[in-house]
Amino acid sequence: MSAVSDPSGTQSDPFQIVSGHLGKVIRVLEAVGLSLEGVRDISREVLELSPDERFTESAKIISKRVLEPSDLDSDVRAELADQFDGDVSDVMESLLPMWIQTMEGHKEQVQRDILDLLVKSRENDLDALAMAVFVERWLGAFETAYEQQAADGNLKLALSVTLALNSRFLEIVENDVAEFSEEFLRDIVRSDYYLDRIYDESSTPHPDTLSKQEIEGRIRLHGAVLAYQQRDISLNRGAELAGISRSQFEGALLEAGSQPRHGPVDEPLFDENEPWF
Amino acid sequence: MTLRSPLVLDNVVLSSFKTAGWFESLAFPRPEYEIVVPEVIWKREFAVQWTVDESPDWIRLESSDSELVSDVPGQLSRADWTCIAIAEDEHGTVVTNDRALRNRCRARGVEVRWGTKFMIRIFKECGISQQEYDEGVDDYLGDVYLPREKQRKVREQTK
Repeated sequence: MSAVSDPSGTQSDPFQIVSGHLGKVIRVLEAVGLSLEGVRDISREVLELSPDERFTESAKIISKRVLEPSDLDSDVRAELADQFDGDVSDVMESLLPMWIQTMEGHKEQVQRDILDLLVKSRENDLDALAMAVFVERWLGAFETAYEQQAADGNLKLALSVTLALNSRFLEIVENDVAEFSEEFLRDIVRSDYYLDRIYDESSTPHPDTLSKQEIEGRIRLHGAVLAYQQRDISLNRGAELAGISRSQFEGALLEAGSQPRHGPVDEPLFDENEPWF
Repeated sequence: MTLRSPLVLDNVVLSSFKTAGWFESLAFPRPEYEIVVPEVIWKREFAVQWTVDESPDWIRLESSDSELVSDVPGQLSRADWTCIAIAEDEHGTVVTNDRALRNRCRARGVEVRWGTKFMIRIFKECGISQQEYDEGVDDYLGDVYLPREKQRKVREQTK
């Protein structure tokens, strides 16, 4: 097969892209009175939990921290404690919309940069796909938490998923990792599994029952579908990224509500004046 | 735009003709135009999907060792790039229904034609009979995803 390369020798990788956005995320947190040190402490505490606890119970850590010393600016804490009387759902009512609005912009920019990377390079495919899916799931978790709060639903579960993904993100950018760990990849699939439970769906098998290869396969597929939906890549490239056949990838696209981009669309099917045989 | 030989077919075109029962009709443009398929497409995709061994004698399987340069190497698969490389090496025409591959061919100045227009040309010039067309067109459209209005027009084609 012929080889193809980028003459500019673009060297950016998904980790550089993500790290570059950390500063913006921190400013969001600071805007609501959370210190980076406080966020680090919360994240460490979250990551020490078992996977099941991390994704279902870690929201308790937020309510504990909102009411207790050290992580919040004291004036902010006092105001929150007075205003919300210790109920985390009241706290979230004001914080979630602001987080979502700010994160939406970052999510679009991070995903744009990550997906551009997939088009401009043939290296680090799995890392770029994993980060694209992670960002999608991360914002999805915030939005689910907002919906659950508005619907008086399972806010604790949705917040726990959000916090679990948040904590993993911070771990990656703060530890300057060179490649994504298996735990990072599993957390992406865990977010699907636990968010499915909020909607009483069971399309995602329990991540602990999946092999590393199966986890990677799911992420490749979801990432490839995202890339096809948001970038002008060929169907064969989507299949290549997903590690499956073209017809299997077509099926996945259709299941995701997207159509393969075939043509012609705007041209006439037959033109007597067009030179052919 | 002059149609140039060889005609380099991608797997979307191969598959759609096979699905519709028109596979042998791909030989219609010969002998004026050679039919070329990248070897990687035949061996790793088409032959696997359709459980065939040998390629027919009217198809030339080809590979390319060309090192292509592009600022968007990740836009296409390696097999797609091989279609472009062969067409560039031999001054031929890529035949595909994939929009991204078509766009990249045009950006590189490679002659390219839509697979569906190629199919209709073969049909109108009697490489596919009306009966074969009527019997196969729904299967063809099950393999090539076109807007409803275009599907209707494909179904309505006559000689």
